[in-house]
Parts: sequence; C-alpha cells; structure tokens
Amino acid sequence: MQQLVNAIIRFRNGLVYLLLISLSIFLLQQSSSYHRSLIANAGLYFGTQLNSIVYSLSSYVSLRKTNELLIEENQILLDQLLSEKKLPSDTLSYSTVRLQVIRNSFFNSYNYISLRGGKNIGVEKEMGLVTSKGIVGVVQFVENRYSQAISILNKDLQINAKLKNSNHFGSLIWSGDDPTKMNLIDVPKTAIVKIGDTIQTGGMSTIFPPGIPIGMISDFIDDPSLSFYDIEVSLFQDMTNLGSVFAIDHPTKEEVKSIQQSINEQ
Amino acid sequence: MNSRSYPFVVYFLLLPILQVMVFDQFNLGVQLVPQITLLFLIFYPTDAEQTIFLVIAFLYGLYSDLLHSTMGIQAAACVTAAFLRPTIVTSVFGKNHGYVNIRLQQTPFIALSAYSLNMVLIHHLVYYLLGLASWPKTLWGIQQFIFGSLYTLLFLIAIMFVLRKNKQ
Repeated sequence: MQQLVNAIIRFRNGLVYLLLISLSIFLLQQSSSYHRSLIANAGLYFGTQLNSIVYSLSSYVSLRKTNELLIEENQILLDQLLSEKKLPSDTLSYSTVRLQVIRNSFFNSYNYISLRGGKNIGVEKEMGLVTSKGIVGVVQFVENRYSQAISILNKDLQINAKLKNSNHFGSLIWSGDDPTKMNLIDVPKTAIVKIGDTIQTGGMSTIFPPGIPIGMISDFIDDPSLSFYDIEVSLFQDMTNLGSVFAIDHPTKEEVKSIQQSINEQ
Repeated sequence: MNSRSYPFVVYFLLLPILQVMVFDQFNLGVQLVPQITLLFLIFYPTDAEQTIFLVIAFLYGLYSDLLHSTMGIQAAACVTAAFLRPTIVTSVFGKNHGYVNIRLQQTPFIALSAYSLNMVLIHHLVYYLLGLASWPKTLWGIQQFIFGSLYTLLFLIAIMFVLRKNKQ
C-alpha cells in the first residue's frame, strides 16, 4: 500500500495530466456531436475488435454444439423449401446476408447485438435480422466490416406483428423482464385469440417481410375496461443463444420509403 | 500567494479577453488566428509546482474555451503544453535552468524564441488534432497546423520584442 502511494506521488504529474486530458476530451464530446460520434465510432471499432477476438476463442471451443444447431437449422429450412404451404404468401424474392453475432446482451432493458459483417457484404441500416426460428433485431449502425443491431429485447423497439390465423395487427414490445417473452399490444377485441396461436411479422414496414414466425401466445389479458388485448408471446428464438443471423434486404425498400415520404409531405 | 503571483492572476484573466477582443480580428481565414494566450504558459514561473501548474493550465484553457465556445480543445492543448514544458525548458535552456525563471528582459532572445516555438508547436498540434479529428482532412490539418504555428509565433515574437524594447 505504501509502495502504491509512493508510486502515485512519484508519477503524480503524469496522472494529473491524464486525468485533465480525459476531462477535456469528455467536455469536448459532451458539447460537440461531431466528436461524440467520432468517439462512439472509435469505441464501436475497438469494442468489436475485442469481442471478435473473444468470440473467435469461444466459438472454437463450442464447435460441436454449433454444428448441431446448424444441422437443425438446415432441417427446418429444408422443410420450408419442400412444403410450399409454409412459404410466405408474398411473391417478392427477398435476399439475405449472413452475419455472425459476436456480442449479444439480454440482461439490460435496452439490449444490442454486435455483428461481424457490414458494408463490405451489403449490410445496410434498418435491415431486419432473422434466424430460422424467428426475428432477432434491426440493424442500427453499419461500419465497413461490423454492424450493431437493436435487439428485439429492447424497450425502445416496436415490431409490427399479427396473428397468423387472421389479419389483426398489433405492436410487439418488450417489457424488460423475461428474455423469452414479449407483449403484443393494440390487438382489437374483435380478434379471436387462443393460447398456442402463432404470432408472425405483419409486413407493414420495409424491415421484416410478412409471415416470419415470432412466437406463440402463452397468455393474454382480456380486460373489460380496455378495447385491446394484452397478449403475452413466448418467442420461438432463444435470444440468449444467438449464433448466425440473416439480414433481410427488402427488394423494394427504397420505393416504399419514397412513397411513404411523399404521403407524409402531403 | 506571494507578490510574484499577482501579475499572473491578471494575465490569467486578461489575456483570453484580449485574445477575443483584439487578436481574433487578425484571423487570416479558416482557423488561422494568432493565439497570444500562450504567453501565460510561456512566462509562468518554471520553479512553480508542476502539478499545480497543470491544474492552472487546464483552468486557463477551459476559460479560453468558454470564451471561444470550443469546449475542451484549448484545455487539452494548454494542459499538454504545460505537461511538456519542463522537457522543453531542459532541452532549450539546459538541465540547471529549472530553478531560474524565464524572464523577458534577461533571457537571450533567440533562446526565448526557440522555447516559444516549441510551446507553440505542442499547443497547436493538440489544438488542430482535436479540432479537426478527421483522417481524410489530415493534409489540410497539417497545413493549418504549420501556418497557424508560424502565424502565432510571429505575433508572440513581435510582442516580446516590443515589450523588451520598451522596458530597456
């Protein structure tokens, strides 16, 4: 302890300098949005580099388990390919970009996913992320080789979703508690809701195409004082165990956005 | 606080104000302004406690930042120049000079200019590096740094020459 104090006293000028320069940079990034984004980008770059190294080590260790998951995923995809009834009714051909999850959080109220893959493989902002089991998130920031997505386990995100058996829509939100469950709100009482029904994407935005499975109704609240159901949805995708994900490129995204913009301007 | 400190309190308060009111008008276009606020850092007693000088330099830079709305850049530049000042003094004036203050009248003018040049270069390097912070504009930043440093040095030498002549 005495040696530590002696070292601090001996190098006090250097320590004071480091402290003051850190404070200066902190003040700079607080007051300037340009510097704030610069520091955020630098943080993203170094954070993803570090997480990439950690992921490389951990993925090598869990190769057998990853192989099993891949085989299961292939089987599901093959089932979907062979059975035309399971394909979405939408006739547009969506292209996908495969991304590797290098960091995934699910214990905060606002969770994000770091991904290996960026502009170099065609990833763009606001691409929806899916797996063979369901939706995962929406791409938020894109660098050249890395991206960051907002997870569906984020209280800020609302996804357009509908009941599979009807065309009744609602907003899918996360309460911040259970990473295996989300809430579908704003579904009108005219909808027929049963436990076990499937919830899928509604397709009302350019982020997710319609018909992608999300989860199953595990419970719902039928409050007589309200006009809408509060539906609890158990997610098909285990958000605590993400490996490879697919970013969906909507083929007519720009056209749809342009029309929406024209409508908004009017 | 001894009698030697009182002029520096005045310099601390007045130099940035003088910079804003007078010397900012001598700008040669984009960001080329003679920064005479460095006079405070140059002539601050070299035998003062370095830790306290670092804090004073930070506060001085912050005060300049408040006046110029460049929150943090001047503070970082001033504290870096203050941190490296002992090294500059040793390299320009020799190892035993740490105990003798740099005085306008007594210090040889060429040594004073060399010392001022080093302080200006360190300050402006950090100032332009933080202010620009962009790889594509590196060449432009280097150009600004070189011309800015020369311009500031020109003004500092002119001021020191005039003040030195008047007091002789």
